[in-house]
Amino acid sequence: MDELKDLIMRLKIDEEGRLVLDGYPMILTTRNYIAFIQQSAEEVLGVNAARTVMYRAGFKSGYMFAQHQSDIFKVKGGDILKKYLHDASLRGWGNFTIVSFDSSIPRAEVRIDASIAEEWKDAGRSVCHSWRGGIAGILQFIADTSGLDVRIVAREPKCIAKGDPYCLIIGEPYRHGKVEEE
Amino acid sequence: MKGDFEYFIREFKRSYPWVEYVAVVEPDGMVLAGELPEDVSVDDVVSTGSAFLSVASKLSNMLKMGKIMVSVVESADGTIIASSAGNERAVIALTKEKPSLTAMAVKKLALELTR
Repeated sequence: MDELKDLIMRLKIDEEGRLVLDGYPMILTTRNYIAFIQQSAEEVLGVNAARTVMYRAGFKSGYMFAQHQSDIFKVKGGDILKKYLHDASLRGWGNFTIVSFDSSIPRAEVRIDASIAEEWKDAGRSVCHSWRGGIAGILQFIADTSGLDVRIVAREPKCIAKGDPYCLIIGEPYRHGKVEEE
Repeated sequence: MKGDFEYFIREFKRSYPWVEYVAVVEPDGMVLAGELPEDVSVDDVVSTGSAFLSVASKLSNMLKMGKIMVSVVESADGTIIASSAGNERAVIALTKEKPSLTAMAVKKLALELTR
């Protein structure tokens, strides 16, 4: 509860009426609204197109967050991922736990309990593409600022939407054929 | 698996030498084998190409036309051909010649990669 109070203390309304958290304009919205955006994209554009859009949005968001944390708050490496997931937990995206993290690769395994995937009920497939993208974006920033010439991708071998008890996202440098193992 | 994709692409280019570019791609922006033009954002092309196939497939389903086999875009400077090679993977080819024959060849390659 103290963490929630801390989050509320960090929220400001600027002079023009924007809700701002740590310098970022925010929108407080329902979880199902975010899910509706992806589900509507799935209905109109198809599952793969929706997946691509959500992954890219998450990737950009994660990368930008990492850059912001590094520039403004001088947060580095694994601490960026910790802060990103801690904030995400507080903001209602689920309960995030870093299962493993290795900044030298970089590679991370992140578990999400009570994730947005609950909005899909039994989709029979993984749906947390924005979080695959977000975690890949953070790791890509860590790689880029560590001089590692790698392309980060993230996969989701477990997802609540396909009947798993929690979601699991693994971000790591891309190796050919890796995605097939899912 | 990378080796297999490259073998298929090599054989494709040998059999259809007029095809300028052909690549096996995945929706998060990865090129598994083959190549795309150097002066484009490969990330964007791969993502949009995958999304294009997804939209085409969705439209085909909505119109009850069954599983999509191949998608063709005739542009002023050539033809873009795409075909799904499994749930997420796709083949994208660019040609200025023999678009119909190329489309059949891409469809055949995609089927081979799906197996």
